[in-house]
Amino acid sequence: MTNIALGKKLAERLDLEHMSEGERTAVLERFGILIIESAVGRLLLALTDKKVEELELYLNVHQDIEDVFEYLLNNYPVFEDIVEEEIVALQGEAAAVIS
Amino acid sequence: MDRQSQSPKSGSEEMIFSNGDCLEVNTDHYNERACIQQNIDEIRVAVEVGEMDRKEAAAQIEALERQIKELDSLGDLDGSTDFQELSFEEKAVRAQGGIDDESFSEMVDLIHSKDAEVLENKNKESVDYGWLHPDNIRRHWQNEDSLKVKVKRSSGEVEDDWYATGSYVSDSDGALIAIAVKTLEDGTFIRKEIPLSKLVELNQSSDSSKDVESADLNKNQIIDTPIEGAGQETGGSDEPPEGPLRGGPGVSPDGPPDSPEDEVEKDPERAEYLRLKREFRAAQREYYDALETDYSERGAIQKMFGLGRDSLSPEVKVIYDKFMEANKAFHNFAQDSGMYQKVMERAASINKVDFVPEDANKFVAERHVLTPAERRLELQTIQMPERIRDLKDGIVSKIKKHPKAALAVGGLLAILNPAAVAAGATTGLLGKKFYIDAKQANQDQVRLTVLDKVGISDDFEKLEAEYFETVRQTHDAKVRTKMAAVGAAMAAGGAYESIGGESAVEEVVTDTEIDLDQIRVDIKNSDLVIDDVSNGDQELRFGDKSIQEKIQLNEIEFTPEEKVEFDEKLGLGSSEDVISRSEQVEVAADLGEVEALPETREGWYSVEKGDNLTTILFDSIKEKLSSGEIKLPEGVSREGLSHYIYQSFPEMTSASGVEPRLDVEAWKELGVESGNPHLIRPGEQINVDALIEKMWGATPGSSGVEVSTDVVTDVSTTDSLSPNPPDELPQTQVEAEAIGMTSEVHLDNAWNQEIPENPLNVDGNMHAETDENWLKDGVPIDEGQEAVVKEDLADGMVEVSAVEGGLRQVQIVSADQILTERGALLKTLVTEHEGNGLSFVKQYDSLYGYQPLMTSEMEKLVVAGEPGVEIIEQVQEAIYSAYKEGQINLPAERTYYVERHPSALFSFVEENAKELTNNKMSAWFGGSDGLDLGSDKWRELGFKSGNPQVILPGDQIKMGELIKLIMENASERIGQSGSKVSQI
Repeated sequence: MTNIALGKKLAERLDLEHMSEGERTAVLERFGILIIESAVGRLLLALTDKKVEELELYLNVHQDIEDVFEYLLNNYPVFEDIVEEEIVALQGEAAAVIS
Repeated sequence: MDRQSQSPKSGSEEMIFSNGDCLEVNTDHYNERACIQQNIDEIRVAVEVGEMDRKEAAAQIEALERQIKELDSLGDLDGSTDFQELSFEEKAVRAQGGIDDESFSEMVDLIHSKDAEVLENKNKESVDYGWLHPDNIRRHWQNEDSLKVKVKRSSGEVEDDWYATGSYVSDSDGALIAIAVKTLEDGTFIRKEIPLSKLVELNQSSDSSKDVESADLNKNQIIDTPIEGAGQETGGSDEPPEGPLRGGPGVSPDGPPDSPEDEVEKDPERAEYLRLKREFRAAQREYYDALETDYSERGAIQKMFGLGRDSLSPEVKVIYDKFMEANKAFHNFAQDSGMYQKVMERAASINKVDFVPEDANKFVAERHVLTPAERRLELQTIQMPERIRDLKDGIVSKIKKHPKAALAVGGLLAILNPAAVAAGATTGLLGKKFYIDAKQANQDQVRLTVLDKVGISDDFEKLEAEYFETVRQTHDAKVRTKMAAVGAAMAAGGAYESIGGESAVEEVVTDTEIDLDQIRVDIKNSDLVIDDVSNGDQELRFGDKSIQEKIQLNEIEFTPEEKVEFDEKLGLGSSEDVISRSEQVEVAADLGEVEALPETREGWYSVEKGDNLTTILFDSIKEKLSSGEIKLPEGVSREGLSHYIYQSFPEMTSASGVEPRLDVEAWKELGVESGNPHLIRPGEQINVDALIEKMWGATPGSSGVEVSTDVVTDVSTTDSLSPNPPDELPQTQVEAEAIGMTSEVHLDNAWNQEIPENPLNVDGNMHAETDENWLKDGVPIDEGQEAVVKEDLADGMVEVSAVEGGLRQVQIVSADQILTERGALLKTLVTEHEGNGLSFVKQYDSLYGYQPLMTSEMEKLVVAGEPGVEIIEQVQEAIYSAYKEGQINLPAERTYYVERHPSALFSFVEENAKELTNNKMSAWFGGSDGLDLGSDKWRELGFKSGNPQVILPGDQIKMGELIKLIMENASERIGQSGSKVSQI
């Protein structure tokens, strides 16, 4: 069992407030991409073949779609839950290492 | 010698210039010239003895001879060629080949003397060399300091002990090929050609597995002002320098670095650092290897995909834990000892940039969190079906092009407290609602949203407060309720203090530990499917099952043409959007999980998201009553049914100390897997018939709580009100809860589909027979507790001196005065300090305090309570209406918010009268305060139950009085806050 102490946000653990803007943005984006990528993977693996094909087609037809993340949130209600789960998972890992 | 013109073969070939025996051809390396020649001879022999086809042999010999030719073009490595005639790369090979120091120095002199000739790429300025710029490498060589690079071998293994030569050739397409060299233990020189772009990518990517410290710990780096104890790392640094060298060439070193032995002697701290790092690396490798093996062997990627610990197999979890321990130990030491600071300071020096100590944390995040997670995701991705993998990569690629989403998600990850997320309080807040709503707000140019500010804010506390305030402002009551829970959890981390609260539960929760295994379970709370966390391959992760059960796609908006195309392409016969239950069962059966997804049996109820046991039971009884399947027991009315439920199963109330009728095992047998009737989960099968049977067999009053089944006013469309005397009403909150009055609110609301929602007519009078003793003109007021109208306040103002730093009593003023003050306040807030937003309004309240104002009309306001509607909703609406009509004023902060969204007042009520929310998490609010009124006072305010959570039909709530108390409580809190500020 791995227990983690709660009570601090990742922003505090990494002192994001004082990090230079460029570095902060870079690290947050990287965290975000990681979460989204994991969430997208889980979503796709949970879809039926038919739904995967549908999504493929939609994205092919709408190459210019501006915000795929929003699209997924809008059209796959479960995606929101998955994103949250992945956030929780990553927070747990971060909290387990960075006090 | 123009190496470009020779265009040697590009890419993956590696050549060994060995003095040893001829090695196997076509393995990792090509042999040296003699070896190749030997193989040619062997091929010829094979042809002669008939073991090899002549045509094939000829082709192979031709290829081998080409290799010999190329080797020859490199010059005679035995020393017969004039050293000065060698290319820079060749000199590098010689230099790294174990030649003695004297020879090395001689070579360096030669390089210096031929400075202008060592760079062979004439168009180097137009090529993106990254930190492998020839100028950079040349300077290293000229300073007797070669430059290490990471090289991926043909086997796929990445080695970190290669050296950049600064020499480049081009392939047939004109792409630059970099040449790297290394020396094997036996003195063999190895040369490898790598496309420059790949070499740069491998060595320059933001992959956080690269050790920044290698930039200053490797003797091969440009050393500007060496850190103490810096030198060749013995710990097997496996990464080259990251960004620090991108800035271009550095300057000469001050001197040679210490040897590893020296540094250990001189700096035990560094020795410990290296030891921990080695352990970290070893544990990391073991973890990755275990992951890779596990993923490839288990195969069922759906069960494994995702971040976090719970998707790991039990075997890998052990190794993961070991890695995390090593990870933590290394991190803690590196941070505590200041080593990371030194490393980053050094890197900044090399990069010629200002040193920002906090920027070291980016590296910390990358090395200790991001990289392991990314690597794991990479290993998982490999196991994905190709089609899914491609689709995922395509989607992620699109998202990367519009990084706002990534920034938003990353930002929310950072600003939310683990206590909040682990408590499950964030569910529903991080995704669609918040992201899209916030984005829409931004598109409407209302203001910068929290998400917009994540990347630019320098005050995360403020940002966090704004985040929660923003979410509070949503219309959705469910979100607001969850928000309260978030706030409670946030208070645990002290975050709530930033918006004026106190952290009453901070001590309780801050040091709380949470089992990582349970995180996903916890976050799901009771809203979502919760299964046991997987302990092996035979179970789906609960999250996945949840997904299976919840996948519901909204209509995707295809144009008609697209739809036709789509249908034709897919041959759609059905528009079913979800994985059907039968499919789930089928999948589950494949996984041996049939029992986990049973079909709903007759008389059993399948729990769905949002259900609670009382509702389930209530609805089932109601249905059976309607169908005539059962009849109400004697003495039990429909209106008293909910009480009958609680009477039968007192453990279903929220009261403490009651004797449960059924024990844990009995509840489990009925399908409540937790054994706790308050905790049911979607997917569970509840034996409702059995419950009803137990109820109907129950004797009212025999279950430990004596409750009259007629305790609630018996209301029907035609019947008179039940003449229950007031002394039959619950006298305490515990008693009220014991009979389930809290839930009664909700249940009665559902029940009231068949009866008037409110016994009052539009004129506000109760047109029904009443008991004169406790009902008067429809307003149930105990004797001597008539609504008090303070006539002396009715016409004018009451001057009350403000209590400095504390409570300020409400001043009764005219509406004009309130509106005038509000106008001035808004003008100040909006026109002069809009950009400062939340921080300014907080300062405003702290500086000036809050003098509550109210009109006499408002003070007298009495409204009919609405059973079934939460009191907090009613109070919030009343405050909002009063505010808009100029009947009351609000603190500056609330004024600021309420101008943007009415529901901002929800939290205002919650924070200043926590008795008005039935959310238990909210009740724990560190920043919430209560009115601390006794039941008599609540009755005086119009709640006949003596409990503001329990609104009974006919309740006439003195809303003006109640709001007045809330406003005064707010003034006291703000006053205290202001005092704190002034003390600071």
